[in-house]
This record gives sequence, structure tokens and C-alpha cells, in this order.
Amino acid sequence: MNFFKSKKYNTWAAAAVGILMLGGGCTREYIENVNPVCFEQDVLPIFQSNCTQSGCHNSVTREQGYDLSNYEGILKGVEPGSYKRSEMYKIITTPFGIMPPSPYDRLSDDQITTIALWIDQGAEKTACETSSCDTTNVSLSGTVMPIFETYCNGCHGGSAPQGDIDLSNYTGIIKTVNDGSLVGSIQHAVGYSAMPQGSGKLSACNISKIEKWISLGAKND
Amino acid sequence: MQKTVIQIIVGFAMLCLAANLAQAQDEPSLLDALGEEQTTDYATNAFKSPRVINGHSMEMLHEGTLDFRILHRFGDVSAGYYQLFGLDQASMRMAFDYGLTPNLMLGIGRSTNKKELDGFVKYRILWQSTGKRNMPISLLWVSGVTMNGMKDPTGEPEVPVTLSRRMGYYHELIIGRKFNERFTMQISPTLVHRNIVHNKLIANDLWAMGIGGRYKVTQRLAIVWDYGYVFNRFPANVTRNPLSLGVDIETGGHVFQLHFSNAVGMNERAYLSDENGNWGKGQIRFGFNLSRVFQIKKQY
Repeated sequence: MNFFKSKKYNTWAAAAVGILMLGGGCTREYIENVNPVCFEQDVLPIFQSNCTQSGCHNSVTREQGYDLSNYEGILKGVEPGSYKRSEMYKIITTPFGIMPPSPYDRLSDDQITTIALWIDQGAEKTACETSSCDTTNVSLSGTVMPIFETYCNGCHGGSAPQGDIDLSNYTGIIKTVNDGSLVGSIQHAVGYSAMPQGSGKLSACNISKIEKWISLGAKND
Repeated sequence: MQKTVIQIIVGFAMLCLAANLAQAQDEPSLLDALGEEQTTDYATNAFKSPRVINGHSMEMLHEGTLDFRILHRFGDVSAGYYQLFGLDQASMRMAFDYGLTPNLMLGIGRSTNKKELDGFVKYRILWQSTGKRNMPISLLWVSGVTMNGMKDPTGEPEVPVTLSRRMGYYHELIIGRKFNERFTMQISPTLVHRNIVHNKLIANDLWAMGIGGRYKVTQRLAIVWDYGYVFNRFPANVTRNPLSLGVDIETGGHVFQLHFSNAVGMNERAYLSDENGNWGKGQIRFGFNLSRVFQIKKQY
């Protein structure tokens, strides 16, 4: 072990750092989705599900002067092109006085990212062509849960689900399937409270996907 | 809840400071009694191991020693009894660290999380000492590299896999001081670079400030804490900053570090940039680090 004594420490250090810096070097890349964010399909439902419940930022109450049920209202808190300067981004990420307020949960990182990306792309009132409705291979985790996450979980999920109806897990969902309230509500049937509240009906495609899943036995798949 | 956590931390710090002051007043100054010192007395055992909990500490391995480290992190405690409070789900990191010289150490490790391989070089620039050479702090530099080993490292099948897209780097400066036998604090400004990120708004370079410390309760037992404040996380979220509280237990040759943390990952890139749990919601996990030191090279 004389080698260690030979004080060639600097050589060792340089060799070690060299090895570390091998392998690709330092680059700066990001993944860009080829489809820009769509206002109508991606952004608006987040606001409608999380911000426009009664007593909050809907067209009736207009809490703090904000009506977040439509494009013009949302744009009031937005600085197109700069999410960092937009009040909307600040208020949904600030550690203090965050929106949605307690007991509602903070928006998910995915939802915040969608909003920030939309602002960054210019905050335009875009609507995307929906592809034809595909109801093959519907499953709870792949089809139904994502719909609920976008349109329902703002109220019916999190730590304080509205009306004790929690659509963020199978136990809660199957309860509404069994008593018929899920289908009744999303079809705006008489005798059920029309859902999603304060915004339009789910698209025919989304409703048929949910119905297909139920007709296949409403399995936890 | 967040407030409570902060209060606990501040409380801890106050407690330590108070004990520190009380002790300082009791001791007659040795330096005064001896007059001029001729030898240099280096601060040793500022921490029981070269890691605080997740982050690097101001402590180095002795020359010629190999530290075999096995780190475990379990699932969320909030998962309840069904998952035995997270113990059913474990992720681990296995690592070998080696002290090449008194001031230089190398290490490699592999985590089950993202099958990530990591390696680092740690160099001590300044060593806290008293006596002939008086140095109030220790200053260390750590540079490391991480390599995601998943078949599809970005999680996007359309993105072609290249080596550079697997890589991340981190550089860290550690400024630490062992205030007395019991109390040590350190801060560590850190830069984490990811070669590829998930969208345009996520910064490739993440800047963070680590704050770590130790309070030795008995010869074999110490309380440790470790926090990393990330300045430019997207989406901004302070509750995701890694905060760990634990105890170090030393049993001849082994050091057990038991702790609770919201961090999932076990290397700098992972615990600073990945999605950690939320302390406020009880998304914390139990973990332990087991460290066994072997003397490879004889000490002269």
C-alpha cells in the first residue's frame, strides 16, 4: 500500500472528478407536449371543479370580485405569458392564504402545472378538437378516475368531501354507483342534484364512458 | 400544522442554545490557563457519520476506512395499520464510501428508487481547529452525479433514451461548526442540475439551502435534524421541502440513524427535487440508516 503514501492525492482527486463528469455531460432539455394546453378541455374544468362551488367564485357570489366560471373572469387574475407575475399562480401556490382555502385541498401539482403552462403559452381561449369517442377498454383507473379527477374531486374528494360523497377512491365511487346517484347526477335526471355543479354537463363521451364502465360491472380495475 | 412543525423546530433550536449557554458558563477557559498553545486541535466527531440524515455532514471518514451504508425508507405512516404504518413498503439505498485521505472521500451508491446510481467526491477545504491554527468553521465541497437506471428514465415512451437524459449532478458547499461537545450546526448551499425536466417551466438548475444539526444527548445517543429549502421548485410548494428529524445511536462500529422524514429519495437529486410528502398531512415515513465502518488500510 505504498501507493497511498506517495502523496499523489491531487492526481487521485482530479481522476475522481473526471470520472464523475463523464457520461453525457451537462445538458438542458425539457419535455414539451406536442399538443398545447386547451383552455376549454384542460383549464376551465379545473376552475369549475375547484373554485366555483356555491359561496365562492361563481357568477352569483363573485367572492372578492372573481367569477371563475368563464374565460373573461379567469383572465382577470392572469398576466398572459408570465405565470410568475400572475396573481392566479401566486394564490394557488402561496404558503399563506392559499386558494382553495381550508378545508379544501391544494390543487394537485398536475393541475397547477396545467394552469401555469396555459398562462405561459399566452392564456388564450383555446378549444381543442375532441377525437371521436372511444368506449373500448374502459377501466376505473384509466378512464373513470381521470374524469372524476378533472371534474369532481375538487369538491368530492380530498380531506373534506362535499355531502360526504368521495369520488377519489373506489369505496366512495361504488357507493354512488349502487344507489344510482352517480348516473342520476351526471345525466341531470330529475330527483338528483345535477352535477358537476355550477358548470356544464359532462360531455356525452365522458358520460358514455362512465356508463360503459358501470355496465361492465363497475369493477375496481 | 405547518406552523406547529416550525414551532417544534424553533423550540428544538432554543433548547439546544440554552443548554449550550449554560454549559459554556460552567467551564473555566482552558486556553486562558495554558496561555500560548503549540499544537493544533482539530474538531472531530461533529457528527457520528458523514451524513446528517439525508444530506452530507461536515464530518469525513478517516483515511483508509470503508463505510458500508444501508439506508431504508418505508412508506407513508398515514397508510395506517393495513400497511403497518408504511413498514410494508420499503425502498433502500446501498452505498460504499471510502476515505482516501483525511480530507478526501469518495462514495458510490445505488437506490431502488428510480434504480438510481450515484457517486460523489467530498473534499475538506478548511477544518475547524483551535490552538496554533485557529479556524472557527469547517468548509467542505461535495460534487456528485446521479444516473437514473430505469428502462424509460423520463417516463415518456416517445422521448428517446440517451445517457445524458439519465444524468443529474449536484454541487454543494458545507459550512459547519461544532459549537461544543454537544451541539453542531451546518448550512449547505446546494445546486442540483437535471439534464432533462418534465416541462418547460421546471428549472433544470435547482437551488437549495440545507440546514442540518446535531445535539448529543449521551455518549451514544444524539438528536439530528436536516432540512432543505428549495428556492425555485415548480410548482412552488414549501411543504415538499425535505425535513427529517431523527436520533443517532452508536453501538461499537455501527451507527444506527433512526428518523422520520417526508423525503422519499436518498441522494441529493432525489430528496431535493422529487415529490416529497407533505408534513402537514402526515405524509411522513420512518427510515433508518445503518452504517458499518471497516478499517481497510492500517493507520500509521
